[in-house]
Amino acid sequence: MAFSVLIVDDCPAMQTVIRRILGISGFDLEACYFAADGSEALSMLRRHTVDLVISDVNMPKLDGEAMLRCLAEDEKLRKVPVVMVSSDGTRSRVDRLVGMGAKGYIVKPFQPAALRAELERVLEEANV
Amino acid sequence: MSELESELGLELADLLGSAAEEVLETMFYSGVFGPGTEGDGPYLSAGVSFRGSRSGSLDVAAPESTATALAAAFLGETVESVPPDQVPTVIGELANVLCGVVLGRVEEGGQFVIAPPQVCRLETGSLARHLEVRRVFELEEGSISVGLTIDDSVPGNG
Repeated sequence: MAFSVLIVDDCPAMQTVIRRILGISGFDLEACYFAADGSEALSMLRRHTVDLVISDVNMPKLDGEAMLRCLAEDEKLRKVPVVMVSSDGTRSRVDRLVGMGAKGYIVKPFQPAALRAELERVLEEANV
Repeated sequence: MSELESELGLELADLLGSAAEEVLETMFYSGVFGPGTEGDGPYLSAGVSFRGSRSGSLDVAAPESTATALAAAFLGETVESVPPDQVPTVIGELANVLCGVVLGRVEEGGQFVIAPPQVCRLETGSLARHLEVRRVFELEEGSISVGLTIDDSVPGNG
């Protein structure tokens, strides 16, 4: 089933890499949106229907953690599954973000297959 | 072994080596052949600072030709087709990911905030020499230098 995704990362190269992995993994993308920080992401989510968010954690303006908090407080957006992608793999950070509602967490560096598997798991759980 | 290394119970130079190997192999499809010497400039240098359980900074520097080759591998492009404006962001991302891996190993249960990478161009190999640990690695694409400093004088560190 086709789905729409929003990739949130302040590094344009990382946005490109994640988009490329989605392509080579054979996901059926209806639309792929990009945002450079949590604030831009919230604005995109209010304008477009998105089935999945893939987000960095450390970003300027509004970081991934603050974005998750905003999503949890928004009745219309709180059900959108979010997969965090971060170089911060410390247990405390992973536990905190999952506790805040992140449905998945991928630690950089990662193989394309690892991201694909995590996205498949989250999409299946969300019935997308 | 420095006092800090004794306290941490690990060799920071070895840690940099294994972290660089893991990151470069996994996301840049590059192999680390072993220790190298700094290549010819100009260099692209990316630094990230971190604070939390420990504070300090990590930087990566590579000759522009090496940086371009790494960016091409990361983006799945050829050296000729990689957009020049993407090269600094890729080197910044390399510093960011390396820093995350290193910190996770320095202090497994630690809490850190890594600042966004700062990327600059250096005409010569005059990289920061005050860093506590620096290693140069020889890759297929050229050489890359990685430096790490952990400021153990900052209150709350350790």
